[in-house]
Amino acid sequence: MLPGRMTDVPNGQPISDELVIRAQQGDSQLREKIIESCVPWIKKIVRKHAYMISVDNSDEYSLALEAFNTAIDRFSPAKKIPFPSYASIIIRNKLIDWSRLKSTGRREQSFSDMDIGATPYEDRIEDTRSGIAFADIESEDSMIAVEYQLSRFGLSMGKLADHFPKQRNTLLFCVQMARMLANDKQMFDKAMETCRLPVSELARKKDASVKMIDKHRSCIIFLAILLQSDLFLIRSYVAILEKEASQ
Amino acid sequence: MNRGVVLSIDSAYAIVFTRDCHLVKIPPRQGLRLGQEVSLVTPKDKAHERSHILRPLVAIAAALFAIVAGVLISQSILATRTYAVLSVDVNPSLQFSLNQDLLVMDVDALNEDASRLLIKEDYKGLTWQEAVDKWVICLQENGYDEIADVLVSAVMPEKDTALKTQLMVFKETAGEGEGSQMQFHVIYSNDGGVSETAKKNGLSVGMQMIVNQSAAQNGPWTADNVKAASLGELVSVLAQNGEMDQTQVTVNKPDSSGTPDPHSTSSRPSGSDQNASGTKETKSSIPSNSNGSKDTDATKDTPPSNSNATTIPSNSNGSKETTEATETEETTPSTSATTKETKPSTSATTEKSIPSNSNGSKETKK
Repeated sequence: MLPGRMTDVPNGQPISDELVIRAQQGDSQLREKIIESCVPWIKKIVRKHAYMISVDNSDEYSLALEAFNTAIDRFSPAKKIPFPSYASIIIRNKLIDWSRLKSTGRREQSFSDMDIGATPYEDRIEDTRSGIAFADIESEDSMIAVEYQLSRFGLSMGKLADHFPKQRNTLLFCVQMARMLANDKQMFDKAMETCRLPVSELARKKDASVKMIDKHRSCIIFLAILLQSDLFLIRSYVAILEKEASQ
Repeated sequence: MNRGVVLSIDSAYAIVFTRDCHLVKIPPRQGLRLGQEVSLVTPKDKAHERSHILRPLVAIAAALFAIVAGVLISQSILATRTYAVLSVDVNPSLQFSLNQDLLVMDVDALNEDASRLLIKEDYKGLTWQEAVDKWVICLQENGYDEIADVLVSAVMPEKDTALKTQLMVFKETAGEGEGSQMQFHVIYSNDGGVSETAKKNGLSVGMQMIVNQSAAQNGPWTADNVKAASLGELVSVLAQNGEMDQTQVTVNKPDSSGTPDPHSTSSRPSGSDQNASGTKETKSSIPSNSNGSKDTDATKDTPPSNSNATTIPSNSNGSKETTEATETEETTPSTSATTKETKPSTSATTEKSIPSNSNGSKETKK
């Protein structure tokens, strides 16, 4: 059992954020230990994604291990995302990228990219040949944060896309509610903490129908999370829509 | 075109938050990254884009089609348009309408005999040389065994070179067959008015050229009497001019008609007399010519290779006859001159009634 604050991983094996930070700071033995302890969990993610029973000798498993190592490097407690959630999203994204590459067949994955060796993560980011950019990492982390927060409400992007309002008036209503929630930091934090949308409070503040808010709660939560995120481009889109509606 | 930011990428689709604040699923294209701003092509955009691409393409295609159609139509019009008219006067006479490829497009019989023998379809599509040969063979097979003269005449545009060349070659080579008695006389004109006048007068272009030539020489042949004349007589009119190209007769009419022919009055009206005035050797046959005896000597010295002389059958006998005639004239110059001048029709009739001039000269002697 590893010391420090524990967070649960899907297979029940606890990993603390402090251990991850220590490994990130250069404790290679601890890094090895964390990776070794998470192997069953990583294999489970790979099996789920690649529909394989034995993943030991598969490319996907190697990629997942590399992604897990990257997750250790990129993890930041400031984002308020537990490491297992963060690592699982990083691994999943990596596996999806791999399967897309494989299906298009346009490029063979070079395993030299995975040969991390003694090169620190910061150096690999600065290497232009690595294909990693700070902007990409920032936006990916922001996306992961959004996805994580949505998952706490039992929402996923796929479901949201299927039930997102199509009519402009409904969309504008959702945007207004989301803006009100995002601007009221206390109400927003409470909503994030309790994983519940304060429907009656919003209805009272905006003098809107409770039924209407409740009907579009998933959209309002999603838009509020986006407005509170670091995704400036998406925030600008919402601002443009609001400006157009006000004119 | 709408834009959006990629929020999620799955193996089946990518989710994009669009600029108009909608959440849409798109196919996961190669190179998509999380957080990337992408352009979305909506069906409306597709239609718009398609119209942007299609419009110029359609316009270009239409323009090309118009050009090709124009070229094809103009070519077909040119191919069916009468480029040249070529008549074959043997009596029976025919007139061929030729297209730009010098193929026979249409045939017209110019007299009853010709219309009786002519099967138009047999000639269409043939080259004019083949058509002429076929017509001559047709005549021979239908009882016209003794064809002495064939007048091939054409009216073609001024710029034409192909038909002119072919006519020259035809003149050189035609009638050279073994045992062939035929004399092919070839004339042409670049004046389109000739064919129109010929049509008005109901003549072949060749006959019309002879009438024109005769008029230029103050000859006796007109549109009315030329039909009754034998070809041998008529071609002798051409011999005076001596050139294949008859364009000058009609196009530069003032010059040609204005030039006084010293022998024209004396040569009238007999065809043989016209022959005589047209060539050196025939000059001697002109009764009124005071230098007739000299010319007769010249006739004797003149080599028979003169093409004009050989093409006109009357000349071949003419040298002999003219010598005798000269002798006659020497003895009774005034009589013969008077005879010819006062009785032009008689001499013409004499020559007409006798196919060759040899008999005619005998009569004259008598």
